Amino acid sequence: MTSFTTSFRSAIGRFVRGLVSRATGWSRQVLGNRFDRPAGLIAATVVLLALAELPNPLRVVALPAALFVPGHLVVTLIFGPSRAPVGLTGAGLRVIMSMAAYPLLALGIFIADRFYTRTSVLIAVLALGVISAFVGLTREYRHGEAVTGPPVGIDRAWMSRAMMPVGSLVCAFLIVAVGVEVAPRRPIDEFVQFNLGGRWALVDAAVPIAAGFEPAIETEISNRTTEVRRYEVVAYVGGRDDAVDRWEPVRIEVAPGETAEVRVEGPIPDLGCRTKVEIVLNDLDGPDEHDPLALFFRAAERSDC
Amino acid sequence: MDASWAPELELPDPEGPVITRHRSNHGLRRALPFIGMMLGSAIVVLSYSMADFAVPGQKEHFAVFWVGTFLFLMPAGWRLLSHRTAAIDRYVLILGVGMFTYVPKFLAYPYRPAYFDEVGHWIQVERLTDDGLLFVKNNQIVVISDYPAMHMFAAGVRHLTGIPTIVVAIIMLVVLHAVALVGIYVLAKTITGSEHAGSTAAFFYSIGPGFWFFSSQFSYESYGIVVLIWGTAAMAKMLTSDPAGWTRTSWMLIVVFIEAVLVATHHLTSYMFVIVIGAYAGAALVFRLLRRDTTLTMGESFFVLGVAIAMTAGWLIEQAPGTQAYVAPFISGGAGDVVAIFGGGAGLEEPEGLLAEDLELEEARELFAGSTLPMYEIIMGFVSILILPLLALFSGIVQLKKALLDRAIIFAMTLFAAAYFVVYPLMLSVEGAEIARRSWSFTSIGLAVMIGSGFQVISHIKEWWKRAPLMGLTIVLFMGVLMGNLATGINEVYRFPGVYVYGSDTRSTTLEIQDAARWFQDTQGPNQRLIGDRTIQMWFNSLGKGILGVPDGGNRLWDFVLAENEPDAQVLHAARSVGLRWVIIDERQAQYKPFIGFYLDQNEPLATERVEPLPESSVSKYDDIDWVIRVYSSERISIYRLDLSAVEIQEVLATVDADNARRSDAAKAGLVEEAG
Repeated sequence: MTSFTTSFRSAIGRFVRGLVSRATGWSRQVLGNRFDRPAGLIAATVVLLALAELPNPLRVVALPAALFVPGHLVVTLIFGPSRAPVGLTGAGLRVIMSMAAYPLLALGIFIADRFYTRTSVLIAVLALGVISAFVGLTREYRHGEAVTGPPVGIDRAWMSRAMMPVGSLVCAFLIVAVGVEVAPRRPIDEFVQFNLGGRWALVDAAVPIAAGFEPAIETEISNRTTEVRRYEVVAYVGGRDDAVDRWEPVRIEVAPGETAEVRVEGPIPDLGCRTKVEIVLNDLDGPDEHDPLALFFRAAERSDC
Repeated sequence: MDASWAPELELPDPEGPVITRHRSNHGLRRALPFIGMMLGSAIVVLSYSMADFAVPGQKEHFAVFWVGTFLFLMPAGWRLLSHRTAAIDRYVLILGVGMFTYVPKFLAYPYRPAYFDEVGHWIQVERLTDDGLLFVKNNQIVVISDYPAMHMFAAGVRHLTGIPTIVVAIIMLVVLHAVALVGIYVLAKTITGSEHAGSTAAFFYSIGPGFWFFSSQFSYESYGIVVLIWGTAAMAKMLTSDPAGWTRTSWMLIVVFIEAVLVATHHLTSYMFVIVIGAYAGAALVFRLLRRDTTLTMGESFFVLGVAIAMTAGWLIEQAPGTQAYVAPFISGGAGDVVAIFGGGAGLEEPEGLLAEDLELEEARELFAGSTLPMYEIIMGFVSILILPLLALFSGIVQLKKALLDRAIIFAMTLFAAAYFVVYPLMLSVEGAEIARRSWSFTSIGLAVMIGSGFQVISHIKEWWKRAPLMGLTIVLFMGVLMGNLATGINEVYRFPGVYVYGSDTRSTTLEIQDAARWFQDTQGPNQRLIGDRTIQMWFNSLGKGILGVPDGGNRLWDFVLAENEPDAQVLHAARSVGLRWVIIDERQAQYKPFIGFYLDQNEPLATERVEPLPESSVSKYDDIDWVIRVYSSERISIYRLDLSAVEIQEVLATVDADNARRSDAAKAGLVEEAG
């Protein structure tokens, strides 16, 4: 069993190392061995922009490039390829400079009197890539030869040692990501919304109506619980406590997660300058927990209101 | 780099990975921290699940949290403090510790902004993404519109990747935590020339105040502090580079680049960076004058300092003139409290029947008053205040013994570290404690470098029977400091999820409030002026896209929420003046006192002094008023629209207008008489 596990692990290790080795070899061939040469800078910029042009949600794969490439462009622009820091310092600096590059690009966009939109961000990153590559070319021309830094080799021994720590880091990350989804948590609070619906939700003053007109008030009930709720919606003219009239109640059942529209209508006797109508939500299976909705009507023909 | 000053210490392989095999790099000893990382993460996840179901008074989740945390941090700390650890392990452990320190905040309130400031920054990014406009006003946190760098970064990543803002925030914070420790490592390694001093410093910074929670909130401080760390490291790199080479100029450009970003990021952080640069420049000047260390070139230091001051002052004057008014109350309040405490209440009116000693007690802050933390954390909160100076003292002795302070660059950082202890007295006052906590996030950078340079000697002790106990003691002390820092830095409600707590921001946020805010935005549209309690403000300003009616000494708009009776004529007049149209009431205001001590605003009447919740009439006062329209009602939330066009309101307002006009005429007449 142990020998099987050992050989399985070493086979996986060989496979991963082979993949990385091929990828590194390919990138060295295509990009002239260095990502900080002008061609490499343009390639990095194009990769970021191409990934950012993928349709959503595939565009998410641009994230590592978005957190690394702008900083890489800035660092190479400032230091030049032969002096740019490498290793952990170089990686950290590129990430932090990426984070710092966006605000300065945004301020540039602002000074150019443009909005900070997706298009302007893409153009700004492209401009940064072109400037960085142009400065790189100028440096090469002035020096008369390709300027490169020390090789960033990933030797096998280093990779072999990296497998366990990096693997543990990935595992810990997965444990937290999965754990937060599967670990039991306190159930979310349940509630029912009751509100004026449609254009009635926009009422901002007493509603003028002609005498004898019977308004039909729209309401909405949104059930944010896990059970079916049964309600009776009823309107009281003059308010619930001092009602002069009570409209025909409407009964309704609302499934969990659903929103029901309920319309109540009726006459308003003795319509004056300000007649209150309260709409009450009666819970047919439990105590009433909602305050009534309240709005006002006035006689349209009266000029003193 | 010349490292002759540290003959006994390890010289690092320049930038490259150390792959020297060593006995301690094999087997279980090597694997232990990585096993701890995985197991510890799982146990911390469990502790947060337990916390969510804990009833008030239960504290088991604290213990489980510490088991998970120690399971990873103790072996990780051991490896980071050891000079024998392979480079790759050191790197991954630094990254792992950094990421691990963000996990508790993430688990407490996953996938949502939780703290008051977080919500303000989150909506600022949403708005920037939606309309592309910089410097858009935010009246929840008024000053952040003048400091948009973090919002620009998050919106930029959102534009490129299509990831929602809250996920960008999580990724940003994970990366920032890892990169912060890498920055401390680079800084300390550059200054001391030792990789394991660098990783010791990084580990010490990871247990520092604020790093676990304050720096884990989606805000401009969290972003700014990490950029500042790298600015400090870049400054050190500049000063230790070849004076004649382009590399030195490059690092100087990086420093200027970072300062340019910091001035647009956060007021305090940009000022702190000026202080850091000033410390370097000052040390260079002093050492040059004393002819003790001439390796630092003063010209570049002072040039960078001048540029930093110019940029900071320019931004403050041209772009963010309101910052002074925003920051001043905190500073004057803290200073006033401290003066009152140490001056025996001098300058304060002594109320009748109250002895001076009582007054001092009232002004002084009672540490951990009403705390729900377990006793061992509270004890460590006090003990860590004593441990830290001892750790610094040990490092200082090592620095003196090894003549490290003869180097200007180390002296500068030690000077910066000393500021950590200078603000200790501020902890005795409420506002001062806030200033102290915030300054520690910065000054602990210097302290970490100091500790790194001092504690590197332990790993070099040859006899294992001396080395092992000392390493163990160091780790235990560090863990004690971590426990104390968490105890003094954050309360249970901000740290763990759990039962509903009114007025706590984190635990007073409910789906019911958020859904009400969404309904409000969907039906009424943006920019509606409204008033409500603090949690309502958070969510109706962000999800509801409303504008907050801000009460102050000049108006009593808080009466719409706090008063027992219907608002009077003056309050209605103020409402009309500011265009207030909506009042949102959470019925729980009549059941609970707010956790933070006030309902709407820290200047409201009886803020922090209430002994009872508001009366029931503060909620029911709108039931019988004829000029409010109740458009929305859920179990606990009611949304009222003010109808200030109602005839009776117009009559009331006309009376106030007439009164005001009469007063104005009288004042004018008085002026004319005086002039005559």
